[in-house]
Amino acid sequence: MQPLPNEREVIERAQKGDKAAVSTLYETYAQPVFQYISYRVESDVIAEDLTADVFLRMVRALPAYKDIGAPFGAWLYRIAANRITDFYRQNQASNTEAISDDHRSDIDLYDQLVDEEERSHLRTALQSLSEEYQTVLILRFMQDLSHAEVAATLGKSVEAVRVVQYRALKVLAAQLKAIDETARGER
Amino acid sequence: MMHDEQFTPEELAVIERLRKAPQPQLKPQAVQAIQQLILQELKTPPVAPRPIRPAIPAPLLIGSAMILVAIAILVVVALVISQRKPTDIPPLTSAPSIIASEVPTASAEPESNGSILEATIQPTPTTAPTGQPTAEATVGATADPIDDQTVMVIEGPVQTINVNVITIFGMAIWLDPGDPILAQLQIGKMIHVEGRLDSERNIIVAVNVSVVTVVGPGLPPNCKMSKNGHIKCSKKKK
Repeated sequence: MQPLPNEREVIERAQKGDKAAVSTLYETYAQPVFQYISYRVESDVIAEDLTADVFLRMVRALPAYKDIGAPFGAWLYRIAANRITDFYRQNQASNTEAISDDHRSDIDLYDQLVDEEERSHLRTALQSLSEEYQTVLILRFMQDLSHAEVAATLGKSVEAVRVVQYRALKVLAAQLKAIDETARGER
Repeated sequence: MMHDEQFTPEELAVIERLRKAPQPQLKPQAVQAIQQLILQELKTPPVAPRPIRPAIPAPLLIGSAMILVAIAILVVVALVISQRKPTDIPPLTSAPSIIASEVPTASAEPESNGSILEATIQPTPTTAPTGQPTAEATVGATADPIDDQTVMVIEGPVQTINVNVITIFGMAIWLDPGDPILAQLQIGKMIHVEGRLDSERNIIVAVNVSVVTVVGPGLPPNCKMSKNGHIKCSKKKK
């Protein structure tokens, strides 16, 4: 995720209700936020809904947003993390994976199935971790955020994020190993 | 201190796996739908905090206040008027105007030595009758140029009945003994008498007598008329 070159200016315009600026922010951060959410919840359908919620909250909270030096993306991820927490508090997440209505070739379909299996394993493994571990791992390695950006998102120091990352990686490795072995045994 | 670069092969494998993890993409329809949603949210004005002072324009507020004050004054005035109303009703004929108007050529001379006779009825001033005057005595003396007789009109409550002679306001009125009205007369009943003055006997000879129907509530329930025409009222029990 590359921040906008003139991000501060865009944010200021968005704070004044400039539609173009709001659209720019949305277009920049929509996919990364959605990807982050999609690994935190059970299905892409839920991830879409929560992504919409995150950006609605962004629009509502923008007038009160203050640039304290942290990346704008970190602020959005924090909103997303809070929204996911709310979601799990309010709902017992159900496995309602959306049935894709895309019409693709058989090769695409095979790749898609492989991807879906890998995503399923990663999701299962990640979701067995604590929220903090999940966020650190997803943002650090899937979203390619720096330690500083993750620290800004979590409201922690960079060192604290490093420690969390170290522990999270160990737990995730163990989880993935177990999941993969189970999958191999089923085949 | 731990550094990113110091990973075990197992950890590096996990990191590599995470980096290569399939990244789902928001579908174009979803991207547009969310965009429309947030732009719509932009159009909706934020709920402004409730102002401390009322949002009504000042002139309207002043006008409303003036109207309220005017209404309050009107209510007070109406209350005062309603309090005064009973006293504004003409009092019970405290001085029934017994008028003997005479034509200069008339031979009749009312005993009252004048054309105005004082009423004997004296209602208690504290009473506040709510109805029409219930006792009125009018003695009218009009000259009859033809028969040279003065016709008097008396209207009031019957005070006494002695066979065919009754008294109203102390004046004796002689009725024809065969007059059927005699059967209807009762003490206290209002009657209208037209008659001629018999100056020799000092009585009025009735020519026409009729019972007067009193319109209205008449005497208050706590008031009574005595035989001599006096009205006495007892204080209302609270």
